[in-house]
Amino acid sequence: MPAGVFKETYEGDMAFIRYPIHKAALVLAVIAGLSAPLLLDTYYLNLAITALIFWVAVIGLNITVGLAGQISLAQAALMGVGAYTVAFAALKLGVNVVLALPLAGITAMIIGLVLSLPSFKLKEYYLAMASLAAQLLLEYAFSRIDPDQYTPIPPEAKRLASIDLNEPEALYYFTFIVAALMALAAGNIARSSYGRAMKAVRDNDVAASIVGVNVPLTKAIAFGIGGFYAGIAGGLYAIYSVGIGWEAFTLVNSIELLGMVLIGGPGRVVWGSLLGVLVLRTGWTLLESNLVPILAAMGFSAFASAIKYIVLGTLITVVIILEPEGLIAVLRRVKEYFRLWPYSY
Amino acid sequence: MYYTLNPPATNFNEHLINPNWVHLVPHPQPSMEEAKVDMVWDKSSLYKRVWGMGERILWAEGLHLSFGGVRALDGVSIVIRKGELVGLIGPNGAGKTSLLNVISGIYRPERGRVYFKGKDITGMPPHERVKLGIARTFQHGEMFHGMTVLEAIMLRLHPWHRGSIIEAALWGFRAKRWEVEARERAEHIIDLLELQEYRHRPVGSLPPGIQKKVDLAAALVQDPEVILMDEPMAGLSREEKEDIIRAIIEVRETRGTTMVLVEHDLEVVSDICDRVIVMDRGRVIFDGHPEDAVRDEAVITAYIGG
Ligand SMILES: Nc1ncnc2c1ncn2[C@@H]1O[C@H](COP(=O)(O)OP(=O)(O)OP(=O)(O)O)[C@@H](O)[C@H]1O
Ligand SMILES: [Mg+2]
Repeated sequence: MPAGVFKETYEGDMAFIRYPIHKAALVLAVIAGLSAPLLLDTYYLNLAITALIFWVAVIGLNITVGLAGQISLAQAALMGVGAYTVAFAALKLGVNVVLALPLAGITAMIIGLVLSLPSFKLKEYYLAMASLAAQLLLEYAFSRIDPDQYTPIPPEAKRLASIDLNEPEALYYFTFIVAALMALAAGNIARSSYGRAMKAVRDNDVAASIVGVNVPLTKAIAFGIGGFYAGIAGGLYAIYSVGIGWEAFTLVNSIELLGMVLIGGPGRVVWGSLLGVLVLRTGWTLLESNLVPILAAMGFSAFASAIKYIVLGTLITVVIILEPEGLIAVLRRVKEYFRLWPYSY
Repeated sequence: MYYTLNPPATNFNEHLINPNWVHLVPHPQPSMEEAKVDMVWDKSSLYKRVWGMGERILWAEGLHLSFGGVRALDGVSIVIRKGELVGLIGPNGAGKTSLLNVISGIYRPERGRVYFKGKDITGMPPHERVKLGIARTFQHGEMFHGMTVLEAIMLRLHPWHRGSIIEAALWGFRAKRWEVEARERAEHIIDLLELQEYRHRPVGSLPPGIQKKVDLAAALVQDPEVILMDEPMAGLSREEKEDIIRAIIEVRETRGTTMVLVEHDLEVVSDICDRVIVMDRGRVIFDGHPEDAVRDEAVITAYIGG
């Protein structure tokens, strides 16, 4: 067999899109994504924009937690780092938000790299504690630089050439393109040699080092990427907002992001993360907007937000117990069932 | 003859009262005459002829390692020569795995040094040792159960991966080329060990025999100079053992890889090994020809539990 044929086969075998069904699903998703502004009113468009923003943050966290197995409770704080970077670059230096966005990613990435240091020595609960400390420290820093809990993002900084990101449609397309590129990059990292090294570190770090993986470096890369994605997401969040306050980047938000990873599918970096966001963020918002009036009518308005966390906590616990691989695994099983149908054995 | 040594549980105090345990066995250094005799009388193995004559590639001096009160290694010195296939045997808990772990860099010895090709590697991190050419298989077979066979094999080429993380993210340049190259090397080993049908199966879903084969394949894909195999045949059926032995012999003959084989089956050891090192309670109690090992008093005592 000629060598060239071999190569082609391997490349084809490793391609991002391997089956016609993948291609069809992807084309459909892109069409749906691009036509969303035509179909949705401003309320739902904003919902879609936030979903895309959180998708980016959750992809990053999924790389740190799901792919490399390094627990982190500081993702929301890292988003905050990105958001304040964009806010201050725009407000104090007059930098355009689009140009400030990569800077937001890099700043948060550097903090993410610092957060990787405890992971060289600590594991699991202790590592969670270390990242918790980092989260609280960053929250404190935010409260000092933003004591009023409001840092406006000047609308002038959101205009670049003929693009005006103050317009919901333009903002939607901008966010969509950034999120899609970030997702593509994450998918590529996950299937690369780095992705394999991260999975090895997650599954057994001692064995990983015996087979030749530089474990500390791999952990640092995982935290760095997680931070970069959080920074970009935070930057997008600042662009989306009229003004930001640090109450959006607290521990509760970090736990929610972690919940999205666990529910969607840890290690299923692209689609698992999207599913997590759609269930925990978008789905919840839609449900809440219908639930709160009902609860209020029943005289339970004071409990509405408490009920949110009770339901979320229960949902996360149930999913982790019943399906540790996340909801994406359920979808995969359904897909597998139909692929083999009618022979289910 | 078919010996399988299934040794009794170890009594850790025994060696303290038995003055016959040798702390350090001198390494066999046959004279030219002896080597010639070997050459004339033993044509069965290409490697037996040069027994004890080769250049040393991997050696350890006076290794000490303990876990709490247990002395896993109590002054172990060994020499592995280029091209040799050395059997490492000993009862359960003798310290074989611990020795391999010190050589791989998982445990830092309390005393003693490890050298590879003249270089002191005692403090070197494990992944750098892999890059130097020391590969390793695990006592329990391939460790990464969630990965497919192909992934587990390609993973072991990561130390040689050169593309940056940005190239990986863009799936361009070296990242893509690397993927194809790594895949080709993996496929080569998959063919050698006849693992084709398992390629895309998760390692954890395979029977133990296949998991061990995958582990061996994954170590071989690193094209190591020395391969440390921790009981690659334990718990396998006759045919599975033969598969592994065939692969070991083929790799030796085609690549001249130096091998250390931890194995309980004495028949296998005397069939394929050029030399055997026997350990007991953290010490080397014998180092020489496999045929002599079964007659050695200290070895017999260790195994019978005398
Ligand atoms: N990580 C560890 N923690 C505590 N004790 C250990 C550890 N690793 C090995 N030991 C102890 O060190 C001694 C040597 O163990 P080792 O695993 O090296 O033996 P072995 O010769 O490989 O035995 P086996 O044939 O059972 O694999 C044993 O008493 C074991 O209990
Ligand atoms: Mg062992």
